[in-house]
Amino acid sequence: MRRALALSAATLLLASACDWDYYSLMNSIPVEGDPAANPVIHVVLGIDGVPIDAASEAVARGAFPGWRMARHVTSFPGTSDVAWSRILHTTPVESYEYQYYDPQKHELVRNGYTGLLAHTIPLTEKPCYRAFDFSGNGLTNGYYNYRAPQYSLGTTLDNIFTLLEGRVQSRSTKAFLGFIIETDVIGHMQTREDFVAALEVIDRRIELFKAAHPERTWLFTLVSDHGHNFVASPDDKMIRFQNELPKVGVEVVDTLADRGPDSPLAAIPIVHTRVTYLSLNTVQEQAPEVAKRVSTFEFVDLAIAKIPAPEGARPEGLAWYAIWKGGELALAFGHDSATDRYHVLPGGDPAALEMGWLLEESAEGLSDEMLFARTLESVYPDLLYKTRTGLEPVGIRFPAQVLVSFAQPFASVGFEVPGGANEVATSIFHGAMHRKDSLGVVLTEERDLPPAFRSDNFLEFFPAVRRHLESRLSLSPSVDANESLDYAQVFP
Amino acid sequence: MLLVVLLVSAIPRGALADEPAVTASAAAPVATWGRYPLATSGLYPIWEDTGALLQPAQAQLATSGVRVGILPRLQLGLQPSYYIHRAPNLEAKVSIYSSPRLQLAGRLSAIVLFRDAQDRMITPVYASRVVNPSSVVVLAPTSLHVSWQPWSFLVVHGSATVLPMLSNGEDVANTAASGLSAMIELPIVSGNSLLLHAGEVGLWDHDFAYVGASYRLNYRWFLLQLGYAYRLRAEGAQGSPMLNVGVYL
Repeated sequence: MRRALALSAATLLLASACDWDYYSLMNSIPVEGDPAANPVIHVVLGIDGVPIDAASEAVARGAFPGWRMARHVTSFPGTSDVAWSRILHTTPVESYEYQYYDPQKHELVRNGYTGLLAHTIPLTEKPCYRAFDFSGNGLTNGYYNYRAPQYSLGTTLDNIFTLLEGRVQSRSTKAFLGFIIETDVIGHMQTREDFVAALEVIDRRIELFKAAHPERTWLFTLVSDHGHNFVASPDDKMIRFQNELPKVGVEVVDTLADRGPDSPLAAIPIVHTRVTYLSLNTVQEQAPEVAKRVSTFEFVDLAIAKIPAPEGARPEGLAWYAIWKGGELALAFGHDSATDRYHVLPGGDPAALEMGWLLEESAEGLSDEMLFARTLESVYPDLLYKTRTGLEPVGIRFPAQVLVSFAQPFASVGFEVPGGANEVATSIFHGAMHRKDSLGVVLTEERDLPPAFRSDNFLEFFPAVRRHLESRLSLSPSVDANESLDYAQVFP
Repeated sequence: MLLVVLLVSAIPRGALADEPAVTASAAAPVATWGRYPLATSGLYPIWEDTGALLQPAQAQLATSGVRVGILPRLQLGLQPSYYIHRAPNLEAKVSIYSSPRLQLAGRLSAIVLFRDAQDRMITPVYASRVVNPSSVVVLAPTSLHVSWQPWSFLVVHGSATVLPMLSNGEDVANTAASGLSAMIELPIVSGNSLLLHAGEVGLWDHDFAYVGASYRLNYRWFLLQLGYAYRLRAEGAQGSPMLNVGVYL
């Protein structure tokens, strides 16, 4: 009997940790609302990793008729956790990846298998995903995402529309956010055609849902958090950064405790997911030299780091940043947070960044609006803002000291499982500063949009969504004090 | 309704039927494999159950139900995992008729969903389609259940349920929904059953249907039932794993 009781207690504890019963209960209760109480519903579907190119192609084929489309200029590095945190203004995540370096404890967190398992065992949820009313499709979602992404997309859409129909019966529901991760997986593992087909499926499901529920007005918006570059990276283009750093005289370490500015150059590369950027934690004083050295690699397009204020630089009190390309300083600039103007340091080679005009026009400092407009069509849209905010605690708690943007067709290999399964997700990539990696999309039937806007401004355009989030979560008023743009100036 | 349940439960055994047995399960000669080789409860929440009751002073301690036989015709129970999700609940089940091949029972339950019950999931991969940020919702499913065993290899469990949903009306309307369900139990080997589950909720005002299958094992005091169901709505299907692990005491 004692053994039976012990077993039953353990079993109860184990199974109670599982939501299956409660999930069944809460989805088996018929509910009935009054459409007059909430006749207009704002629905945002987060379509992870959909680039503007694929969305444009789907629209050209007839999907989303009459919707407005804008380029979504997303943040750098272009990785989902930090991007959604910034888009939705949720509590900052720890860092760019599950695995990160904690500078307070001087240790790598979720290193190795624990970081890998964090992707597959959904016991905790980052605040950015908690913002979604639907963000996961059961315990096996992580498996089916990769095993059969189209099937997984179907079940996710089933769940989203089932929840949506139920939740709007509550008169308090004015908005709904659903998260679709499968689009990102289809991008990583399949072809551009599959990507476009997935968007067409989403379009059809939306239209079917709206036709079945004419009792309310549904205003759908699709928003993506980053782009995809449509450049495959076979294994010989996969970079194991930890093996490369010593070649430029940078020691690979796993803690920065007891290291100072005069210590030999050292860095902690976060090689975690398969992306086209890499973060390097190092001693801040060593960051410019580390960035310069890693930018000499053929597989590195850009390396960025904060720099000390140059001697004699005016005005004083600015925060300074630099971009290296091919081992040379391409651009150094300071940002005046009080006026939100950027001051470019003479020298460098801005032309290498398609910004040859920069030095001539920077005498009084450059406005954020002007820079956004002038860089929008370049290889690196919104380069200065993205560089600055990528290195600051914007959307994250622990920024790296050096960020590397990979040249195409290279990518960081990410976590490797000894013995196999490392050939997955090599079709296309995201993460880099390049426009193909970073231009997402916003498609909406809710309102007019400028031709392009900064992803940190998403909630400014969709206040009903912001109100919905604020009713459930604590949001930051802004992820960066100077995130806003005057779009009337950008697009006069 | 609770009063009715208690009154019926107080009727002496034999007044409603000649057969002395309370449950078909109890009457089956399978003591070596388990005291309850056939299902004594449903697996899918709210909408299904059986006509069988636990014998007096016997208990089921399981993840999907802690139930105790109180009187010859009365069983009390609760769903323990709902308490983890801060949804207190209680159920009373009374035997109305019982013979070796046919049992009929009534069940009354109450489940309280405090405000924001949709936020009580433990893991982030499951979500609720019901939200109640402005109201406490009381569910009072009231149901009749029949278990019929025409042959030794087949048991049919049927349920008819009315689900009143009561609140201050700030979120959703006070309504009552009806549903019918059936479990076909195939006792393939002693103590081992395959069950097919199906149900229709809403009936003339259709809300959803579900279909599923499960496997049930009762070996001595150990109980395991594992299955999977799909809820089918016009908007799509939701897969729903079902698990019940525990003991009979």
